Amino acid sequence: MKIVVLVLLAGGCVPVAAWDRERLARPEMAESAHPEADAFDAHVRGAREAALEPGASGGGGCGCN
Amino acid sequence: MGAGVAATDLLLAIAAVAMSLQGSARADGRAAIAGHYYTDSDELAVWHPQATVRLEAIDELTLAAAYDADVVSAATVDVRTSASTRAFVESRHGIGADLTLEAAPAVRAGGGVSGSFSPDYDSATVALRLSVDDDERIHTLSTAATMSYAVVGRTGDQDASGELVAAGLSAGWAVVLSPAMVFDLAGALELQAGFLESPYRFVDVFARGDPRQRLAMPEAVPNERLRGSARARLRLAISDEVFVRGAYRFHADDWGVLGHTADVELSVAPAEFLTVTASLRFLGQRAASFYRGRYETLPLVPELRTRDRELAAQRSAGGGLSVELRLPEVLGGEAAVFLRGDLTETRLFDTPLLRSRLAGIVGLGLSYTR
Repeated sequence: MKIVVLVLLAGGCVPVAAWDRERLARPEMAESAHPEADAFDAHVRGAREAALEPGASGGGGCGCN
Repeated sequence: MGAGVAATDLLLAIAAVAMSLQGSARADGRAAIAGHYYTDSDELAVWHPQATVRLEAIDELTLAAAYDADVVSAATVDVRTSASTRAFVESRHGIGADLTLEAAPAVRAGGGVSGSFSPDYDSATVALRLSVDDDERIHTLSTAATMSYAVVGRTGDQDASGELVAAGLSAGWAVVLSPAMVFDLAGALELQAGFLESPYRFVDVFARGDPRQRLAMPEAVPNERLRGSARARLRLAISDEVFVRGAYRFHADDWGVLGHTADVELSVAPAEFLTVTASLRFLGQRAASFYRGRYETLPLVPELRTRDRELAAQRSAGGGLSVELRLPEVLGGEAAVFLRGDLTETRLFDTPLLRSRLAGIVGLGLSYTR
């Protein structure tokens, strides 16, 4: 939590103009660089860990026993 | 196999409908196929093909469809110590359809349905989503609700089966902190009710002081489970060529499981068309309160009992490497290919049958975007 607060204080929330968003538009800064790979990793971890992944939907079956 | 053919037909049908809606207009969207192979030292192997299509049907409406499958072959310690010790091969098929509507310039609403079908686990899920940007597109708030229904059972045994219902809520907040930094917070809660046991899992219960006397009892866990997680993540562009992504996740449930996960990724883009990414991931988890490696209480059998390693104390450390190559101006769009490999070692505590697991993943994906 302290890290979260420090990040927010350090960065602030200043407007970023469209022409200043070139780096933000890079694929490396995307929410998910490889959606299919991320979906597979979440699927594997769903059967290996007890965690609920934020954004993942419930159900689906684990595909292994 | 039938489900696989039906899913492919569904994907093609959705794509055809979306294309026909467009008429002669451009067909913006994304199509991707990927294949992953998972194998581990517990003699489990999974081949996982995927296909996704997303099309902007009209200006404000985006349609998406997805198909994936698992072809599983297993001779794990659970299989080797069960009543039927034979290794098995089975497959699971999953399909999904989704739509997103740009209800206003900064408001997106959507929903989707998905289904998953295997010999011992069928499920259906409905999801609704909403996200809103502020006028400056600095802040994004998002929320989602899911409801799923599953029928869980043991192949060929009507008695070892049940229904499982799950309802989930999630929320997220993302903020652009600078022209090179994005921070986001996300949280999720899920309530599960129904048949939460694995119908294949049996737990040995020993007579105290006499390990020769033993009963193999079906796993028994509570009929309800509330679990949640929260994640904080930072994405940072250090330069035009170097990018860092770090995340921390906390997870817990009312069965006593509690865990922490840290992820970090370093991406280097030596050229506009090439990105190489190295990643590290660490997880530590406390066991469910009723988990024990051995149950030595015969003749009093404990009410709750499991040897599910998902619910056990564990630590894992892993790392991976991926390479993505992007080819612009292919048929008016951009084609991309990625190749990845990951290794993860998990140390399991209080699990006599399996002390550690080394798992490897390799994956290859192709996508086309315009």
